[in-house]
Amino acid sequence: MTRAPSTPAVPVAVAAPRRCRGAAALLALLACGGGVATRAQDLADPQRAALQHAMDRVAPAVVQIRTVGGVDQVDGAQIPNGPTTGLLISPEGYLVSSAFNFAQRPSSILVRMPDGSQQAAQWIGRDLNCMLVLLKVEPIAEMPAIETAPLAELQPGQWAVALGRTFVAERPNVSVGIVSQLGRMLGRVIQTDAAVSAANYGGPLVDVSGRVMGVLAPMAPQSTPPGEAGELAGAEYYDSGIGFAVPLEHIRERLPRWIAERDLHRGLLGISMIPGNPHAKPPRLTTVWPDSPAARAGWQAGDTIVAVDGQPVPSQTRLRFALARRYAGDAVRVALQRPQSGGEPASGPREESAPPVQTVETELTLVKELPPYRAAFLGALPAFEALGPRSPAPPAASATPAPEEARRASAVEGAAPGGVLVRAIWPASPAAEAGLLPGDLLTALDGRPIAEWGAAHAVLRSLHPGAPISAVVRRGAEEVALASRLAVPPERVLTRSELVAPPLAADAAVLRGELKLPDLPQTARYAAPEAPEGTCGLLVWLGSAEETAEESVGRWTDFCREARVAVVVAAPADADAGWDDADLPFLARLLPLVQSRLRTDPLRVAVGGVRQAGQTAYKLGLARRGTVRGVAAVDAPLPRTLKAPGNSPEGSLAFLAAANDNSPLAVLLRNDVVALRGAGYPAVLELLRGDSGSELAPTSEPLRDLLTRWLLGLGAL
Amino acid sequence: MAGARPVRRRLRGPALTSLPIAPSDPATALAASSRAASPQAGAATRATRRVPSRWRPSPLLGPLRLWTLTLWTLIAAAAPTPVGAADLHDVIRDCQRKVVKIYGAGGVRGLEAYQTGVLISAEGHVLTALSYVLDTNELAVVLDDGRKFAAEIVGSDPVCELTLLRIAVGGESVAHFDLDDSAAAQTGDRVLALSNLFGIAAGDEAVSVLHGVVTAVAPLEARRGSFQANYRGPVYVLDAQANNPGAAGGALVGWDGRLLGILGKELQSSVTHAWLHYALPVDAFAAAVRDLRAGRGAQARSAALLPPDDPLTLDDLGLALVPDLLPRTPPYVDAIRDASPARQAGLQPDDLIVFVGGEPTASCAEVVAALQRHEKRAPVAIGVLRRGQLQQLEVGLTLNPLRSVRPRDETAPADAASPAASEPSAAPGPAAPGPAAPDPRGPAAPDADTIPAGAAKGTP
Repeated sequence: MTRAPSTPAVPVAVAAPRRCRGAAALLALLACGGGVATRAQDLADPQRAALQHAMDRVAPAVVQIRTVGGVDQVDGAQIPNGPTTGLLISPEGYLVSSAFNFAQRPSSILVRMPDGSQQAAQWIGRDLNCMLVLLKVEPIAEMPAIETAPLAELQPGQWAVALGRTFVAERPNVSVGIVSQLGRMLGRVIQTDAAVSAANYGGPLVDVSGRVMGVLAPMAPQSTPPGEAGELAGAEYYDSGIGFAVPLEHIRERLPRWIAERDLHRGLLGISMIPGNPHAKPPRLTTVWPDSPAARAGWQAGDTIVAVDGQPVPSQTRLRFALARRYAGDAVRVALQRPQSGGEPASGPREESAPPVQTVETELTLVKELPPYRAAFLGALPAFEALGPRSPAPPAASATPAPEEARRASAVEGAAPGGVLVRAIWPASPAAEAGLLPGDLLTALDGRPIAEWGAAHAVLRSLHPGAPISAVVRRGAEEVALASRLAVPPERVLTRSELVAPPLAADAAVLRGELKLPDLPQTARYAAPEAPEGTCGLLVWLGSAEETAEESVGRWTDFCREARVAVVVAAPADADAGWDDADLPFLARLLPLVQSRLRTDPLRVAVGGVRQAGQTAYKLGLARRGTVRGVAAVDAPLPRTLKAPGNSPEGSLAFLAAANDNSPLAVLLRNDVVALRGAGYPAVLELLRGDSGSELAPTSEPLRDLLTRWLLGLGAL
Repeated sequence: MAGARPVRRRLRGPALTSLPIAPSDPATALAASSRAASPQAGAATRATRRVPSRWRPSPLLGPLRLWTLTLWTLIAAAAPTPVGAADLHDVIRDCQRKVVKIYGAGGVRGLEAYQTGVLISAEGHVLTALSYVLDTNELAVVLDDGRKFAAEIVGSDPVCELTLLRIAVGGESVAHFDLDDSAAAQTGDRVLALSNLFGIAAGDEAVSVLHGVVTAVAPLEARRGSFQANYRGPVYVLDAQANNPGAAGGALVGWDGRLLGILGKELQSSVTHAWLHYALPVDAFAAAVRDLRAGRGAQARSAALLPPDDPLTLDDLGLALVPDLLPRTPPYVDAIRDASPARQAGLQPDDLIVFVGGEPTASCAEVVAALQRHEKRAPVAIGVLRRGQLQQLEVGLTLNPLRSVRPRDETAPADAASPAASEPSAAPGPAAPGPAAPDPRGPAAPDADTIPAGAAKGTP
């Protein structure tokens, strides 16, 4: 009787017969197959080896830089004084580093060469478009060579290793990440998620083959400024997973030019474009800066840029992309579309349907800075009715068949058909010399037809004092052509006798009300005369808490009627401390609120205040230059911490500084006015005869009178 | 039926069925089969006795048995663990069990009341960072599986800023890192940082894992506010954002699961002025932790550098720098004393001192401090920038062979006279004996014969 088949206690294989041997071989094969497959640990080793090899290839070209001297703080931030990093990019000894490392303007720069020796480096210059610096050292016997990774081969997701030589001089410090995206910051830089910080600014970003993709530099993600960024911009993003590298391919292209020109600046055109969403709006010009490359190439307001160097630019963002990598001195070919003469400049609110256009090809050379802008002055004061309602004119006006363009103009603007009415002429001004008379209808300026005052201002923005100007006016039934030369804005305010401004009727209603923003503590009260929309200007008077009381605002009523302005009196948040910078956000939000509610003329917006409030008025005016057109500061010198930026066509501000003639501030104010005129702004200093010791207050008659005269002269062409 | 055949027939069936078709691990398969075999093994031994005596292993099976035994041994030895991502997952899981969450003092003024710790012994020793969180009687440690223990402080090392805690695990043993089985990392190694940053893990949730690379192995030059970190030795600087609130005391491990270091506190690097992500290497604290476990207090460890007994000063060299008015006044040379060691070495006014003894110096204060780290007797290499060129000079008091340092000795009047005579034109060095020196020098100076002999004797 056979028992159940038995197996010995020892492993089966020991006594395996031939068939079991076959099974054992099969199992052995399976087991070996499992052994061949790599573990995560084994996979890590080839990766580690590849990255190590890439680092070793580039490490000799990564040098340590030490600086001596220079300032301790820049823009209030303490500059670290540890070693920084640079990259040797040519066998002649040129090396590139980040401008962040030299923000303190050191007096001496020492570079540790790949063989350990130290050398003093010579400063060549900066690339202000990418915030890099170029230095030169004497080449040593064996200069390291690096290979550039072509930009066309880079892809998001590939390995990126950031090297620096900050902590230890003998070995570079390394951070590993990937390429996040290409063509960031208007097409200028590579974005990576490797840890980019002051530990490796100026070092290379390397791919896994050991080729250098770019040079690491800080950049602020939110800013694509029209001008040049500061050296420290973007350094606070070091721990955020976002870092930038300037492509080495681009640096090598520019290197001969960089060595020759020493400092490379961003190229400027000198134009302003229509407001709105820059990704959607076409690049249509509103202003051409006088004496800029655009002006010299004959560009005009109303032109639309269609192509740059053959590349179409359908939106303003595309134009910025095309121009961001251009430097001063670059020549660009730009194709424009210009509306045929007979059309209107594009300051009208509606698009014309299929206007005839001509394509103009131009070539211009970009510059590094535009000449300072000075406001030009003609001397014609607008009639208040001409600013007129936006609704169409009543049908009776079109009983006589008007020319096609005039009818179109009146349908659009509702203004006097085909021109703007002049109410007064500034004495001894270019308009007076040309023979312009009050009551004339200005129909064309500098060859461009004018339908409203905004258009006239737009034409003058592109011209500078001394430029010839031609005008066509309709006087009665005839058309008169006039010519003159533009002048510098006058340095005084109109006197009573020169004013031609009938005040609103004494019984014209003055609306009063209160303005408050829900989340802010400041208050404001307004007094606005009831008048056709757009005929009243706006004065934002920065007063005190008492002044916003109901009855004190009532005292402005006569002033409103006479000066034809709506007055908004605002009070600061902290009554004891007065006006300070914390109130500026409230004021910034107040302006559009008032303008939309009270429907004031956008060309006559002024802010004013006395002493501390006057200084806040300066700050508000310069911060909101396009909206605010005038600043009246009484007994208030320009804040010392405020550096008035140069004037620009869209942001021309008229300044009024007033004080008692025996005030101790008179000298300061005189200097301030001279400084503002030097920056290109029309500025007026008026010293009022008053009792010594008496303060100027808005209730005082001399000040009221001055403000009235100044406001009525605001908005002069 | 011959003798061997019935054996083969008997063995074939059960041999095949007792083995799994595709073993994931032949070693386990072998174990399974032997386990499967054991109930029958007993039967086999019983059966063996009843096997007819005609059964005898064939002589051929001897070498065959040896061959297959070798084959199976080799396979078992080379058997790898499961493949790919599952492996890293196991490593991480294994390490997470050894990292604990610590809750203590804090919670006011934005200071968090939690941090991380690492188990380093089976009896429940926990290593963590020395911080205000431990400043309480109610210190709680929560393990990876949610078990909560009260912890008591065993001891602290103020230099490394680490504290050893003990939790009462009772008889159970806990998974822990072995400090003796740790590893050292190099620049570029991929590492994992395990910690409870931001206190996001609670209860039985495992701590968080971050991945990154060792950016550098560098001396710790960092501060928090105006307080410099005590530890100045080498640390692992990381590119992962490992140092966040609550992460101090966490574990830095390699991809093989071995402990590399302990995550440090939130400090700002003095070099880059940026937040520093770093970990203290095991080598730095292993000895201290051993002392703490053994109950010994923190041993005074010899400082890396003892200040010299007789440090060098600017006056010794005959050097004056520009007035030190700014926080970092560049160290320009203002004046050099005639016939001083500085003059001899070739230093000139308006030189900028950029290296002292190989150390870079960016300010007057740094030059003074660097000189003080050198002995007076030894020459020191000084690098200066002169008109844009870097010059390396060697300055030293001993380089001046004519300097006299021996006082006048009554027993050796010749010696006293001749060393003084051997300095005909040199101004007195700073340590030269005062009143005695000028007298013998004067009358002895013209005597040219004594000068060489004096020089030989006068040379220190």
